[in-house]
Amino acid sequence: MEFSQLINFITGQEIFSLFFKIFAVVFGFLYIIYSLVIFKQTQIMTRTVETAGTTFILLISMIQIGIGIGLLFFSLLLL
Amino acid sequence: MSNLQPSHNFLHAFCIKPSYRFETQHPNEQVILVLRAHPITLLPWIFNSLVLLIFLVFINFLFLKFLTPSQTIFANFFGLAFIFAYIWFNFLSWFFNLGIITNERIIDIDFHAVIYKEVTETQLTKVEDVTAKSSGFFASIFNFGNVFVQTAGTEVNIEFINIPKPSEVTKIINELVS
Repeated sequence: MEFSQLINFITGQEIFSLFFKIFAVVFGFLYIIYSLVIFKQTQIMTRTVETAGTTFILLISMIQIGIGIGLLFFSLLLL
Repeated sequence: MSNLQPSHNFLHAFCIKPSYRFETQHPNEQVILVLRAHPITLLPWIFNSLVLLIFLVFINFLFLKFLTPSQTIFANFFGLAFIFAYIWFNFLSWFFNLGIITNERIIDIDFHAVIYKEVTETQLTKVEDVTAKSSGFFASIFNFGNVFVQTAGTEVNIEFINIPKPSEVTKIINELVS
């Protein structure tokens, strides 16, 4: 890579896209970890108090994990 | 307590004889009252969520020309996921922070920041004093406040914060105790 190409890379769109992708992957990964913690805690909470909406609450917490997986896949494959 | 009819008021913040079960419930123990914070106290985070949604739409117009289409879609997806996580976290904090009054005990279940669990309970026979406090403009209008249950000896005192109808709760506890 010549010096001018390197300068273009640093100042151009490529470096921004690279940083965007790294940011997206890291945050997608963190979101999955966060949603897993919330799901685990939701299980503990629903065990502590059983209500009619227990299944629905667990389902929404599972959907949150799905959103996290979707974010990670999007950042890895489509960006 | 037989004169109380099963009902769910204030978006399930004041439930009389609901079909709830809790972890440490005894076989013949009957749930009389389940209390949560008054729905009006949820307004700050509901308002914050709306502001975040509007902010997301606003930054779309600002940064649209700097990002590729796939980056724009991802940024929006991530923004919506973040707002959803914020709403769900606050909802869970509200839904599982509750007070339960049974025919045997008074139980206060707290999940601070969802990950910290604290369960305080006392027998009705150990209740010494019940105080209802309601102060402030919104508390007076929407009829919510705090109920403090003082117990004998070294037992932990129980607090129900921002619950609907504090005076009615005090009345029910006093009827159960006597």
